[in-house]
Amino acid sequence: MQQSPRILIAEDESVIAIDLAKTLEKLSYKVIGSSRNGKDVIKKAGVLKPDLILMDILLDGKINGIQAAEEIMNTFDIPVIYLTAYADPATLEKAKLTEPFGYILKPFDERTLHTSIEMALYKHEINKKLKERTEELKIEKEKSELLLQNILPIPIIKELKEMGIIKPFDYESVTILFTDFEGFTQLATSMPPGELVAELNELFKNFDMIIHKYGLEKIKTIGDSYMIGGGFPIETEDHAVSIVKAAIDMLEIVKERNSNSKYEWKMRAGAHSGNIVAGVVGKIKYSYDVWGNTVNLASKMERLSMPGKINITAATYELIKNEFDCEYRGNVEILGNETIEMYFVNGYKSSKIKSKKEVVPASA
Amino acid sequence: MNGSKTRILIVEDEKIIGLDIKRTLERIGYEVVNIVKSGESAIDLAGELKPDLVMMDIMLSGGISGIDAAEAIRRKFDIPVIYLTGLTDEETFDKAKITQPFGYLPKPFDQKGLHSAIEMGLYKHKIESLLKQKTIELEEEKKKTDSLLMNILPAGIVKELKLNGSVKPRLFESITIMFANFHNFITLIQKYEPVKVIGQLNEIYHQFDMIVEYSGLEKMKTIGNTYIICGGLPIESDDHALKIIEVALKMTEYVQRLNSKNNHEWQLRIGINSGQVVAGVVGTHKFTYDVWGNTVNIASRMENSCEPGKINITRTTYELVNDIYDCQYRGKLNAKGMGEIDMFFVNGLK
Repeated sequence: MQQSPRILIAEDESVIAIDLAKTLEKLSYKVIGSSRNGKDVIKKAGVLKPDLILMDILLDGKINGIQAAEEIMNTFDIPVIYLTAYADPATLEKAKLTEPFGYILKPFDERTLHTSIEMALYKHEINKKLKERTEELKIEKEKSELLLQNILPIPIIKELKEMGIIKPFDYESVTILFTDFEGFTQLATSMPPGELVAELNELFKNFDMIIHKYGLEKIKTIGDSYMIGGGFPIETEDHAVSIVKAAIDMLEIVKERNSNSKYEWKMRAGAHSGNIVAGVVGKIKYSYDVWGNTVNLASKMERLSMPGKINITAATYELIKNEFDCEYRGNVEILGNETIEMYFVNGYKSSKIKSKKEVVPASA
Repeated sequence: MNGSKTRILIVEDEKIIGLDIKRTLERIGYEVVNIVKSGESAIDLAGELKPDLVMMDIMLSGGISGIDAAEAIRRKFDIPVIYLTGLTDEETFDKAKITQPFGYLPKPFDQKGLHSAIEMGLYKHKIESLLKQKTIELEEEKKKTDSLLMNILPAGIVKELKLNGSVKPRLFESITIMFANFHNFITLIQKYEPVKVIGQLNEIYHQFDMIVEYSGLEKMKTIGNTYIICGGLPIESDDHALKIIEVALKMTEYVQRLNSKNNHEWQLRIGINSGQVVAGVVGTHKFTYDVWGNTVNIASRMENSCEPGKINITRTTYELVNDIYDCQYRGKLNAKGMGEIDMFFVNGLK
């Protein structure tokens, strides 16, 4: 310690107070004040912010030393050493509860006073450091946990922590949804980079909230494309319904955004339901990902969709038809001679609480 | 104290004092594990008996001094030492201070002084060990945070984020981007056990990662069976196209070797393009550093128009690498949605 510690004395007997101050000065502490009244000690502690308070248990006024000490330690975090003339067990017990930094029995000798003060200052300092370090550690742990959640789904993190390894896993029935913005590249070239990324970020941030709301898994964004899944890593029954609900909300967000923005985002969505394999791959920039024909087909559904529309396969349609109004698009050719039955989701069935029809007029 | 008695080792060369300390300690309720006379045997016994605390006379006759012994005991075994100081010679005292003892006790001592010095020494040791442990844990956690952040963002972007608290989107005039895709992946998944195929893909990606890490290029992400890297960002460079081709060749060779060795049938197609992109960070959950622009779309189309085992590049990239790499003009070929584009295969170094 470069500066001599500053000490406040609380003592109702002025002879003792003066004697104490003299001894303290001799030990090269700085006595910055003295008080005989409990209320006054609290006030002085707050104003003077001493490094330590020597506190007589018996003080003038309604507030005794123990009460004053408790208030001071809680409010100002200043260490207190009790001075006590008598060792009445009940009072000592009460004093102990306030976790003081030491007791000195009167009459005190210089050496005891010195070591008690040094100890109290040390204890206070090191406990403060320990508390700070513990707090920093807690914050850092939360930070790394959040980052891990930015890379892997929570159940997968749990598996990783328990097993030390993540194995690829087959899922029989999931739904994958892709969205992207038609004409994005042209729009992108007409916008300053900062604005482009800010716009996308705003949209994706809102999408992230929707995904969270429906308990779905964001897989990743790929440029202007947003990819999500339902039914894994924790298997669920209603993955297709949740995905379609999320897609409707996402289109709604885009519509709102378009109405107050100079840009027009033409989002299209496509989904398919089926089996996938999911797992973690890579050494650097490792990520949780999904594979299988279901994924490819979902991506194709998105490409064959239209702005403001959700395009789904018959497999997804079968899972959601009770809740949503859909429109059959026919058997559409997807690759060479392959064809697939596609549907547009028009909105919630009119019997459902939410009734949303056409979301954005289809104008490709 | 956790029920059992605190075990103390006494180091004192004067027998009578040693016994006196022992008696006093036992009266207080401590256990004395031994009394030794020299610094050397103090170190040996501290290691052997692992006492909770050592009471050390600073002045020991012959051999190493109490200060040296204390230093060794603290360093080797992390056992707190309290000095017994008969003399008040300042120089010795200063020297003793450097060893950061857990207390001093001037001789002659009384029981109360001894008791509180020991309790304080034990307390100090306990709390300082705890603090040390928390500090180490904090360092480890910070390293973990850093490595996780590096798994999400390029190193340069992590730096910017830490410095400014945000990442500014930027336009890069000239970068090169590569899409590598196993185009027969679905066939593999349908033919073999999917989980096993993913396991193999993971091994291949690990190998690719090592190639990319070594090259100093930026892995952007993998999308299923597509592996994407960039050169010339987030830190601009002149040789981004050359480096990408170098990496592309290494990847192709690796997959070829893998196929011939294990009878695998991984068919890798690589498409590369150079040009301008906008790069930035988007999203709150699963936020990511990404690139946007037609340069990216064309690179993806180049991969689509590639043949297995080949590297397909645009004219822009070709102009940047043809001094060094032998390229073969393929003609103007149709790229989906982009019209006809000049395409070149990279054969290898000239």
